Amino acid sequence: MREEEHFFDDINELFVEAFETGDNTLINSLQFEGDNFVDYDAYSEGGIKQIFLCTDRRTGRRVAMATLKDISNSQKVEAFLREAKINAALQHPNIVPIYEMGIEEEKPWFAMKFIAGKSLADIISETKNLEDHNSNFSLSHRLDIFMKVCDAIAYAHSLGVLHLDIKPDNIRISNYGDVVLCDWGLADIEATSCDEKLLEFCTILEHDLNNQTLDGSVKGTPGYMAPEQTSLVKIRKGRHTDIFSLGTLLYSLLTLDKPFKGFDIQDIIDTTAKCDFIKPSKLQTDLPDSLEAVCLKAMQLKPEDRYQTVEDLQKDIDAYRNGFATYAENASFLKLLKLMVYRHKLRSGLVMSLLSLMIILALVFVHNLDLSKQFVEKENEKLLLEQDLYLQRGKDSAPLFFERAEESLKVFDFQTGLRFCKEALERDNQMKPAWELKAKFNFAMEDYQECLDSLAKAGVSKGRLINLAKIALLAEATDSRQEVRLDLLRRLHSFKDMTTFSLLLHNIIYSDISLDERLEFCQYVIGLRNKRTAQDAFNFNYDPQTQSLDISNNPWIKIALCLRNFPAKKINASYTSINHGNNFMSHHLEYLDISNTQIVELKSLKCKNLKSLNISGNIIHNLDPLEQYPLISLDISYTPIKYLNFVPKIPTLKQITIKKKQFSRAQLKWLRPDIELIEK
Amino acid sequence: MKNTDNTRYTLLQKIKDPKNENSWEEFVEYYSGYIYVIIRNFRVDIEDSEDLMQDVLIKVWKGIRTYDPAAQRSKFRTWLCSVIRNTVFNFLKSKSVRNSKQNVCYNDALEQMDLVNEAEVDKIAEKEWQNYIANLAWKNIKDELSTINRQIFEETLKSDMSNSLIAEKYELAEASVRVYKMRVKKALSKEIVRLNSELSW
Repeated sequence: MREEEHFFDDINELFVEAFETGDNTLINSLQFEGDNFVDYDAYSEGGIKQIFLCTDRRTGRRVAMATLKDISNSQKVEAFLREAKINAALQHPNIVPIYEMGIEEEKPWFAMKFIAGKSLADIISETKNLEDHNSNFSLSHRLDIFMKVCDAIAYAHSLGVLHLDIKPDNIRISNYGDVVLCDWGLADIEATSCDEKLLEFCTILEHDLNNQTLDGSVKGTPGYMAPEQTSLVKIRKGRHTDIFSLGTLLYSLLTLDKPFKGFDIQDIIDTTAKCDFIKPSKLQTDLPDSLEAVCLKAMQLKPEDRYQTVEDLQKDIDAYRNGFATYAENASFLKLLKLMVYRHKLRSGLVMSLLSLMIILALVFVHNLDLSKQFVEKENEKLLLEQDLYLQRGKDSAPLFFERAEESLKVFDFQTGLRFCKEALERDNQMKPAWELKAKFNFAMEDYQECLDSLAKAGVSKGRLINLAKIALLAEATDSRQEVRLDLLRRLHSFKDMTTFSLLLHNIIYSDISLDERLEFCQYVIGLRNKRTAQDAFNFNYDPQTQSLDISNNPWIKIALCLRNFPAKKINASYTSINHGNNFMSHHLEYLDISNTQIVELKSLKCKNLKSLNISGNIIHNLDPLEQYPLISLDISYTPIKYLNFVPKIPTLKQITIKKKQFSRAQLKWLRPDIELIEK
Repeated sequence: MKNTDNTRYTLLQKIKDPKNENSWEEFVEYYSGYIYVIIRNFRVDIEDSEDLMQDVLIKVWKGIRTYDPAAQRSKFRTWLCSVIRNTVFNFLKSKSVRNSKQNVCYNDALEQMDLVNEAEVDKIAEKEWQNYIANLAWKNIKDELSTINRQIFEETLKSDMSNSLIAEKYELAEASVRVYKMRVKKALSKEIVRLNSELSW
């Protein structure tokens, strides 16, 4: 009989294992080909994210991998990465740590610690189904969990980060005491106090009262969110929002129930907005009064009635646990005495039996009072220091906003620039350069009263800008808008203040301006900017039917920047002396004739819908910039262009006009059969 | 397999070289067992299996010079297994016709085989190869192991006896059993990887 008959069956697993363990040295385990993360198992799925468990081959541990479900929406991608960045900025034992983030095949992902265990929501619902709630989920244990979540939020607030979605589902609890807060998808940044690096994630400025998440649902989780998170209550979101949610969390821990309930989402939102919930003691009769008081104080409708900081909330819980009266319950003297007797059982026992020691007791009491006073004073000191720090940090970030405002000015983005200016001034209203910059924005945006006010704040009492703003303000009362504008531009031109000139010009041509106004305006500004002698004719014709503008045969025109954003489909600027393509920057423009002009390069031409271009007679060598346009017809006759190898790069091209014998026969091979060739 | 070294002068190349006579013996030494196992896998009895193994070896001997892995676009093992499959199939067919009434078991085996398609052959080839190499590796290393190591590991190979039972049987601490097993497994893994890269194409 052959030896194979004695072979073991089904030990092929050993074979597979042999290759899994590979070369058994540790150094080899770090050198491998392929992906770092393998062995994916689906774990959970939400509206936006999908969570997998996978193995990190380098460390050999299981990690949780979050990926975005829909990557077609770039806003969602940004929001997803923003969540990861904010979360990664938070290093705290009660906040889930982010290990790594990246992009794979355009799909963004981030890996975080996997907490083997359950969510608090699961534990609460399991406990609710048990008869004896306290047996495995004692009040003390619940308060432990709550305090850890408070720690996490207090820490996040210290960096200016708001969670805005605190609820039992977002708290994971391991079997070994880990309590971590997850899902920072709705988190936001408080610009007044945050770390400078986090400033870029701040959205609270613009979207302050916009309560929608990206996928259109309410931002927050109905049942746990604060009144100001419903669109029905118009209050700024802030730390108080998280404090309210901490109150709802405490509520669910104490009662094992949601504070806000209803028939449908709208109903829940309505009760939330009214802050209408059943008192915890009605659901759980044996609840300590002081804990209920804490819960109710955190869940006040008005932010100013809630705890002002998470630390205050924690102090009250501590007070309850150590047998002191909580601040929230406004305890009577009797209750204070009762609590003290509880705290000092032995001592009070002695007092009871030995009345003669009453004086000592009184002394002890006074001493205790004194101690607590000292404690309060110390706390106050600390609070003042913190406030100072808080203000300071705000002030420090003002120059940062100012810098951004300056950058916005350079790219003519007035709206954003003005906003950044305001942000800078909100932090430091003594910052004169910011006031001056704001005045510039106000002037460019034709808000002359504001401009004068800003200049006054900047301490500027005389100068051209003040004079011009005053003139404009007076003229506005009597003259038409057009007249004021033309007058201001004329004055600026005569002062040769071309910076301010171009700011104002830019604002006007990008503002809502009627066609007639614009035609008159452009005609005037072209006349103003170019040296035209009496003999020079001025051809300026606009045909509204064909939406075409003709300024050809005006050899004296060099600059026509006012034509930017002109709502014409066709512009004929042939036989002018215009020397720069940026004069025609517009997304309306489809047909442009700049033949026989001084334009020598096409890079500055920014007309994204350009279909037809005539550059005949210009000294242009490089056609590469045309690759980005949906160009159909092109005239390159009488240009120094000798090669046709640009043709394949413009797939939309259907017609090319050239001069006879401009190209060698070999070059003509570049033409596609569907391209019509016109020879002049 | 990722450990296959493509630049190595493989056993297959050696066999294809008519001047290299030892190579065939080497092939028979290592592969006859594998061929035998596969044949047995097709439910052929022990006696017939020995004969069929010889038949297959002859077919391989004749076919190997024309076998071109690039042209076949499949692993040598897949090719080998289809050779085995056809040989066994023809054998069972002739038997079943000859003794159509007397021998039901040939018919059964034949029917079984008819159901096995190419992809499944591939799967069987792979699984049996893994099992075969693991066994070969065990055969190679077991004599170098200390008696206690060998005994303990044999217990695990034979049946899934728990560590605590093995510990009791050999009067050892359970922790020691785990450590012994881990050491043997490491040695075995090394040998498996070595054998596989030696014999795979």
